[in-house]
Amino acid sequence: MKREQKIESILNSLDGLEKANPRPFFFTRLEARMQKEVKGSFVEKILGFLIRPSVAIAAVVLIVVVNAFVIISTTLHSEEQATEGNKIEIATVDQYLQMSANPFDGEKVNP
Amino acid sequence: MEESQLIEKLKEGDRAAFKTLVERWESMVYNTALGIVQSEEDAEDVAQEVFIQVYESIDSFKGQSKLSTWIYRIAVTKSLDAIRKKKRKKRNAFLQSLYGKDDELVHDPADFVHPGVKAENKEDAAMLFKAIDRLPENQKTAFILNRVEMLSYKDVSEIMEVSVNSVDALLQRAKKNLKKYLEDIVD
Repeated sequence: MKREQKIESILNSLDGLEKANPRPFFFTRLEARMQKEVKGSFVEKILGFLIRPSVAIAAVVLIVVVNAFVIISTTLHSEEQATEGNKIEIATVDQYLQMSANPFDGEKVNP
Repeated sequence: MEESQLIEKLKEGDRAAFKTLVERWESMVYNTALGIVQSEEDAEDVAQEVFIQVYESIDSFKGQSKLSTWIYRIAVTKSLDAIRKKKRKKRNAFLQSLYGKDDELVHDPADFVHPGVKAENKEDAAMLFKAIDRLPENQKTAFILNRVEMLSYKDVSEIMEVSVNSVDALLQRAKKNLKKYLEDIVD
Protein backbone atom coordinates (compact mmCIF):
# COMPACT_ATOMS: atom_id res chain seq x y z
CA MET A 1 0.00 0.00 0.00
CA LYS A 2 1.31 3.40 -0.88
CA ARG A 3 2.37 5.68 1.96
CA GLU A 4 -0.23 8.32 1.10
CA GLN A 5 -2.96 5.72 1.05
CA LYS A 6 -1.84 4.35 4.42
CA ILE A 7 -1.97 7.82 5.98
CA GLU A 8 -5.39 8.38 4.47
CA SER A 9 -6.53 5.02 5.85
CA ILE A 10 -5.26 5.98 9.34
CA LEU A 11 -7.06 9.33 9.16
CA ASN A 12 -10.29 7.55 8.26
CA SER A 13 -9.90 4.85 10.92
CA LEU A 14 -12.50 6.52 13.14
CA ASP A 15 -15.24 6.07 10.55
CA GLY A 16 -18.08 4.05 12.02
CA LEU A 17 -16.78 4.64 15.55
CA GLU A 18 -19.22 3.67 18.29
CA LYS A 19 -19.51 5.69 21.47
CA ALA A 20 -17.75 4.32 24.53
CA ASN A 21 -19.68 3.90 27.76
CA PRO A 22 -18.38 3.85 31.32
CA ARG A 23 -18.46 0.56 33.23
CA PRO A 24 -21.84 -0.39 34.74
CA PHE A 25 -22.91 1.20 38.05
CA PHE A 26 -21.18 4.49 37.25
CA PHE A 27 -23.68 6.42 39.39
CA THR A 28 -23.08 4.16 42.41
CA ARG A 29 -19.32 4.75 42.18
CA LEU A 30 -19.88 8.48 41.71
CA GLU A 31 -22.12 8.69 44.78
CA ALA A 32 -19.60 6.72 46.87
CA ARG A 33 -16.84 9.15 45.84
CA MET A 34 -19.01 12.16 46.64
CA GLN A 35 -19.80 10.82 50.11
CA LYS A 36 -16.13 10.07 50.71
CA GLU A 37 -15.15 13.58 49.62
CA VAL A 38 -17.78 15.17 51.90
CA LYS A 39 -16.39 13.22 54.90
CA GLY A 40 -12.85 14.02 53.83
CA SER A 41 -13.61 17.68 53.42
CA PHE A 42 -15.16 17.82 56.93
CA VAL A 43 -11.96 16.45 58.50
CA GLU A 44 -9.88 18.68 56.21
CA LYS A 45 -11.92 21.71 57.34
CA ILE A 46 -11.29 20.91 61.01
CA LEU A 47 -7.58 20.32 60.41
CA GLY A 48 -7.40 23.41 58.25
CA PHE A 49 -9.00 25.43 61.07
CA LEU A 50 -6.64 24.01 63.69
CA ILE A 51 -3.47 24.73 61.72
CA ARG A 52 -4.40 28.35 61.03
CA PRO A 53 -1.60 30.54 62.54
CA SER A 54 -4.07 32.62 64.59
CA VAL A 55 -5.73 29.50 66.02
CA ALA A 56 -2.39 27.79 66.68
CA ILE A 57 -0.95 30.88 68.43
CA ALA A 58 -4.14 31.32 70.49
CA ALA A 59 -3.96 27.64 71.52
CA VAL A 60 -0.30 28.00 72.57
CA VAL A 61 -1.08 31.19 74.55
CA LEU A 62 -4.02 29.44 76.23
CA ILE A 63 -1.84 26.47 77.20
CA VAL A 64 0.86 28.80 78.60
CA VAL A 65 -1.74 30.81 80.58
CA VAL A 66 -3.38 27.66 81.99
CA ASN A 67 0.03 26.25 82.93
CA ALA A 68 1.10 29.52 84.57
CA PHE A 69 -2.18 29.67 86.49
CA VAL A 70 -1.78 26.10 87.73
CA ILE A 71 1.86 26.68 88.75
CA ILE A 72 1.10 29.98 90.53
CA SER A 73 -1.96 28.64 92.34
CA THR A 74 -0.05 25.52 93.41
CA THR A 75 2.82 27.64 94.73
CA LEU A 76 0.46 29.98 96.63
CA HIS A 77 -1.43 27.05 98.06
CA SER A 78 1.72 25.35 99.29
CA GLU A 79 2.94 28.65 100.79
CA GLU A 80 -0.37 29.02 102.61
CA GLN A 81 -0.09 25.49 103.84
CA ALA A 82 3.42 26.20 105.00
CA THR A 83 2.31 29.35 106.89
CA GLU A 84 -0.58 27.45 108.43
CA GLY A 85 1.83 24.68 109.40
CA ASN A 86 4.18 27.20 110.98
CA LYS A 87 1.32 28.72 112.99
CA ILE A 88 0.35 25.30 114.27
CA GLU A 89 3.96 24.57 115.08
CA ILE A 90 4.37 27.88 116.97
CA ALA A 91 1.13 27.29 118.81
CA THR A 92 2.28 23.83 119.79
CA VAL A 93 5.64 25.14 120.94
CA ASP A 94 3.92 27.93 122.98
CA GLN A 95 1.64 25.39 124.57
CA TYR A 96 4.59 23.20 125.41
CA LEU A 97 6.51 26.11 126.88
CA GLN A 98 3.55 27.12 128.99
CA MET A 99 3.21 23.62 130.22
CA SER A 100 6.94 23.39 130.88
CA ALA A 101 6.92 26.65 132.91
CA ASN A 102 4.51 25.20 135.53
CA PRO A 103 5.18 21.51 135.46
CA PHE A 104 3.29 20.93 138.69
CA ASP A 105 0.35 23.25 138.06
CA GLY A 106 -1.96 20.34 138.07
CA GLU A 107 -0.40 18.86 141.20
CA LYS A 108 -0.20 21.83 143.59
CA VAL A 109 0.69 20.64 147.03
CA ASN A 110 -0.44 22.71 149.96
CA PRO A 111 2.17 23.04 152.68
CA MET B 1 -38.22 15.11 32.57
CA GLU B 2 -37.91 18.48 30.77
CA GLU B 3 -34.49 20.17 30.93
CA SER B 4 -35.81 23.26 32.77
CA GLN B 5 -37.60 21.06 35.31
CA LEU B 6 -34.46 18.96 35.73
CA ILE B 7 -32.34 22.08 36.38
CA GLU B 8 -34.88 23.35 38.89
CA LYS B 9 -34.86 20.04 40.77
CA LEU B 10 -31.06 19.91 40.67
CA LYS B 11 -30.88 23.36 42.21
CA GLU B 12 -33.09 22.05 45.04
CA GLY B 13 -30.51 19.27 45.58
CA ASP B 14 -32.87 16.52 44.43
CA ARG B 15 -30.98 13.18 44.32
CA ALA B 16 -33.32 11.58 41.78
CA ALA B 17 -32.82 14.54 39.42
CA PHE B 18 -29.05 14.21 39.78
CA LYS B 19 -29.28 10.51 39.00
CA THR B 20 -31.36 11.29 35.90
CA LEU B 21 -28.78 13.86 34.78
CA VAL B 22 -25.87 11.43 35.26
CA GLU B 23 -27.63 8.61 33.44
CA ARG B 24 -28.59 10.91 30.58
CA TRP B 25 -25.11 12.31 30.02
CA GLU B 26 -22.60 9.81 31.45
CA SER B 27 -21.88 8.30 28.04
CA MET B 28 -21.28 11.65 26.35
CA VAL B 29 -19.03 12.88 29.18
CA TYR B 30 -17.09 9.61 29.36
CA ASN B 31 -16.66 9.35 25.58
CA THR B 32 -15.38 12.94 25.32
CA ALA B 33 -13.00 12.47 28.24
CA LEU B 34 -11.78 9.16 26.83
CA GLY B 35 -10.99 10.74 23.46
CA ILE B 36 -8.93 13.47 25.13
CA VAL B 37 -7.18 11.64 27.99
CA GLN B 38 -6.82 8.34 26.07
CA SER B 39 -7.07 6.12 29.15
CA GLU B 40 -10.20 4.35 30.40
CA GLU B 41 -9.16 4.73 34.03
CA ASP B 42 -8.47 8.46 33.70
CA ALA B 43 -11.66 8.98 31.67
CA GLU B 44 -13.74 7.43 34.48
CA ASP B 45 -11.99 9.68 36.97
CA VAL B 46 -12.58 12.79 34.83
CA ALA B 47 -16.23 11.84 34.23
CA GLN B 48 -16.79 11.60 37.99
CA GLU B 49 -15.13 14.98 38.52
CA VAL B 50 -17.33 16.51 35.82
CA PHE B 51 -20.55 15.38 37.53
CA ILE B 52 -19.29 16.47 40.95
CA GLN B 53 -18.63 19.92 39.49
CA VAL B 54 -22.06 19.95 37.82
CA TYR B 55 -23.68 19.06 41.16
CA GLU B 56 -21.70 21.70 43.06
CA SER B 57 -22.08 24.56 40.58
CA ILE B 58 -25.54 24.02 39.14
CA ASP B 59 -26.60 27.25 40.90
CA SER B 60 -24.21 29.18 38.65
CA PHE B 61 -25.83 27.74 35.51
CA LYS B 62 -27.90 30.61 34.15
CA GLY B 63 -29.36 28.80 31.17
CA GLN B 64 -27.54 30.97 28.59
CA SER B 65 -26.56 27.78 26.77
CA LYS B 66 -28.01 24.29 26.62
CA LEU B 67 -27.30 22.16 29.68
CA SER B 68 -25.46 19.65 27.48
CA THR B 69 -23.20 22.43 26.10
CA TRP B 70 -22.35 23.50 29.64
CA ILE B 71 -21.58 19.91 30.65
CA TYR B 72 -19.43 19.41 27.52
CA ARG B 73 -17.43 22.54 28.43
CA ILE B 74 -16.77 21.18 31.92
CA ALA B 75 -15.82 17.79 30.45
CA VAL B 76 -13.33 19.35 28.02
CA THR B 77 -11.79 21.59 30.70
CA LYS B 78 -11.45 18.72 33.19
CA SER B 79 -9.98 16.41 30.54
CA LEU B 80 -7.38 18.97 29.47
CA ASP B 81 -6.56 19.61 33.16
CA ALA B 82 -6.05 15.87 33.65
CA ILE B 83 -3.61 15.72 30.71
CA ARG B 84 -1.64 18.73 32.02
CA LYS B 85 -1.50 17.15 35.48
CA LYS B 86 -0.24 13.87 34.04
CA LYS B 87 2.41 15.62 31.95
CA ARG B 88 3.55 17.61 35.00
CA LYS B 89 3.80 14.38 37.01
CA LYS B 90 5.80 12.75 34.22
CA ARG B 91 8.15 15.77 34.07
CA ASN B 92 8.66 15.69 37.85
CA ALA B 93 9.32 11.95 37.77
CA PHE B 94 11.91 12.53 35.04
CA LEU B 95 13.59 15.29 37.07
CA GLN B 96 13.58 13.11 40.18
CA SER B 97 15.10 10.23 38.22
CA LEU B 98 17.96 12.57 37.27
CA TYR B 99 18.65 13.03 40.99
CA GLY B 100 18.28 9.31 41.65
CA LYS B 101 14.86 9.56 43.32
CA ASP B 102 12.71 7.22 41.30
CA ASP B 103 10.35 5.95 43.98
CA GLU B 104 7.29 6.79 41.89
CA LEU B 105 7.60 5.83 38.26
CA VAL B 106 5.15 7.21 35.72
CA HIS B 107 4.91 4.79 32.84
CA ASP B 108 3.91 5.66 29.34
CA PRO B 109 0.59 3.95 28.70
CA ALA B 110 0.42 1.27 26.04
CA ASP B 111 -1.04 2.29 22.67
CA PHE B 112 -4.55 3.52 23.27
CA VAL B 113 -7.34 2.01 21.23
CA HIS B 114 -10.81 3.50 21.61
CA PRO B 115 -13.21 0.64 22.49
CA GLY B 116 -15.69 1.83 19.87
CA VAL B 117 -13.28 1.45 16.94
CA LYS B 118 -14.12 -1.25 14.40
CA ALA B 119 -11.97 -4.37 14.77
CA GLU B 120 -10.37 -3.97 11.32
CA ASN B 121 -9.38 -0.34 12.11
CA LYS B 122 -7.81 -0.90 15.53
CA GLU B 123 -4.19 -0.77 14.38
CA ASP B 124 -4.69 2.39 12.33
CA ALA B 125 -6.76 4.02 15.08
CA ALA B 126 -3.99 3.40 17.61
CA MET B 127 -1.59 5.34 15.36
CA LEU B 128 -4.14 8.08 14.84
CA PHE B 129 -4.69 8.54 18.61
CA LYS B 130 -0.92 8.73 19.10
CA ALA B 131 -0.86 11.56 16.56
CA ILE B 132 -3.96 13.23 18.09
CA ASP B 133 -2.12 13.32 21.42
CA ARG B 134 0.52 15.58 19.83
CA LEU B 135 -2.00 18.20 18.65
CA PRO B 136 -2.30 21.58 20.36
CA GLU B 137 -5.17 21.65 22.91
CA ASN B 138 -7.71 23.62 20.85
CA GLN B 139 -7.14 21.53 17.70
CA LYS B 140 -7.35 18.34 19.75
CA THR B 141 -10.61 19.49 21.38
CA ALA B 142 -12.22 20.39 18.06
CA PHE B 143 -11.09 17.11 16.47
CA ILE B 144 -12.33 14.91 19.34
CA LEU B 145 -15.69 16.67 19.58
CA ASN B 146 -16.20 16.42 15.82
CA ARG B 147 -14.71 13.00 15.00
CA VAL B 148 -15.10 11.03 18.26
CA GLU B 149 -18.20 12.64 19.75
CA MET B 150 -19.65 13.19 16.23
CA LEU B 151 -20.82 16.72 16.96
CA SER B 152 -21.65 19.22 14.24
CA TYR B 153 -19.44 22.29 13.61
CA LYS B 154 -22.19 24.41 15.20
CA ASP B 155 -22.26 22.34 18.39
CA VAL B 156 -18.45 22.34 18.57
CA SER B 157 -18.42 26.14 18.10
CA GLU B 158 -20.92 26.57 20.97
CA ILE B 159 -18.92 24.33 23.30
CA MET B 160 -15.60 25.99 22.43
CA GLU B 161 -17.21 29.47 22.36
CA VAL B 162 -15.73 30.31 18.95
CA SER B 163 -17.30 30.89 15.53
CA VAL B 164 -18.16 28.08 13.14
CA ASN B 165 -15.43 29.39 10.78
CA SER B 166 -12.89 29.11 13.58
CA VAL B 167 -13.91 25.48 14.17
CA ASP B 168 -13.47 24.82 10.45
CA ALA B 169 -10.01 26.41 10.54
CA LEU B 170 -9.05 24.43 13.68
CA LEU B 171 -10.11 21.17 12.06
CA GLN B 172 -8.21 21.96 8.84
CA ARG B 173 -5.06 22.70 10.83
CA ALA B 174 -5.60 19.57 12.96
CA LYS B 175 -5.80 17.37 9.83
CA LYS B 176 -2.72 19.01 8.36
CA ASN B 177 -0.77 18.44 11.58
CA LEU B 178 -2.01 14.86 11.89
CA LYS B 179 -0.80 14.12 8.36
CA LYS B 180 2.58 15.60 9.24
CA TYR B 181 2.89 13.53 12.45
CA LEU B 182 1.73 10.38 10.65
CA GLU B 183 4.36 10.85 7.95
CA ASP B 184 6.95 10.50 10.73
CA ILE B 185 5.37 7.27 11.98
CA VAL B 186 4.40 5.53 8.73
CA ASP B 187 7.29 3.88 6.88
